[in-house]
Amino acid sequence: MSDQEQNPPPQDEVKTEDVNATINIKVASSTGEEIFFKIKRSTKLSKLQGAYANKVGKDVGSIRFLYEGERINNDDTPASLDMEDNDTIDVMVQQVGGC
Amino acid sequence: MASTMGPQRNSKVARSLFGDFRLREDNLTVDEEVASFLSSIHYAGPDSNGSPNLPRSVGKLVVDQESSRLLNTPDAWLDDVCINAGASWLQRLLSDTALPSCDTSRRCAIFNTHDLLRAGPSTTDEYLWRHVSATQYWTKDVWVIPIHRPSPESHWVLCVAHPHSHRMFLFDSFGQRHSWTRNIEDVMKLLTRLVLVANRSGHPCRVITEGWIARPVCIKAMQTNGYDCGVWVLAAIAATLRGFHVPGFPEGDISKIRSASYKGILAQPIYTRVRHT
Repeated sequence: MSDQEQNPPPQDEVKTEDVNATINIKVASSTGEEIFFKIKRSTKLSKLQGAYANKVGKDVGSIRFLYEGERINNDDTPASLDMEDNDTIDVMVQQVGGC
Repeated sequence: MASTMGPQRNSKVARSLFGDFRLREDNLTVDEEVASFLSSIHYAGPDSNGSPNLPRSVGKLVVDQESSRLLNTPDAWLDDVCINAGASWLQRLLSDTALPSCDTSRRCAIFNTHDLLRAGPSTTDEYLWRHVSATQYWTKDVWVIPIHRPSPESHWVLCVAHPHSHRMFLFDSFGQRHSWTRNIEDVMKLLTRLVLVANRSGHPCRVITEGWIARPVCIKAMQTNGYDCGVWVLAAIAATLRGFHVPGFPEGDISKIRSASYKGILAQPIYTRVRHT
């Protein structure tokens, strides 16, 4: 019999632990610069996006954040995206042209 | 506006699998039909009638509402999503086995507009490989590289590289030559890194990265307005996929390319997150 079966933790306790756990995330730009963030798994990634934009001195609206090729939405969190420690978020600065 | 167009001058008629087409005296092939061809297609898909405000998936790319709006606005500048998703959509469309462009389209690898940056000195091979390997470029004869020139130029141009004949064809809808030097240097760095990372990843890529010849394919302005260069790049990509060197049609028809791109992308499936719901 395993430990878990002997002493099953209450459901709420498990949830609380997961939510409060922190995770290291690498944000990598197209040109190879990397910035590391440590945030809670429950923190909205929009906060990280804002912090990154401030750090690099760009408007957050001009930067695209992708996790595993898919765009990160405002309400996403590391937990909702099943992110793991040391995962990478790719950032791309919007390119616009016409003339 | 045909009088402003370089490709139609000094040309003779030749014949290809598409029928007659213009061959310039410098042996560049001109695709005069690409705009009318793309505008003749009825674009329909499972989500064609879905809200145009919902994002669409083109392969792994997601076209959001803002980029769709740019495509659907006659005088809007295009962004990287429009170019990358538009190029991907064109290749899917023109690779259809029912079309004569099937073979030429499938021989092309289309790179992302950010790949030139990804080949810079600060990136690792693993990082570059993660972004470019899906194109399987080491198996392709033609490498299509859309290029963004940042502000203050804010301009889209196109480089079409033929790795086995060591030639690159440069398309600038304004017909200018003076800004290519920096782009050519960046393209050669990208080509060199591409060859290295393919070989290091176990995919033989026997391309010589010295002695290349770069050649402008548009030496007179096709574009006279201040907003359509991205659409011209999409037209040049379509012409390349159809086996030509350069698009050649009256400037007034460029709106057909914009409209077809918008309708074509709108007919793609509505985006739904695959991994996370």
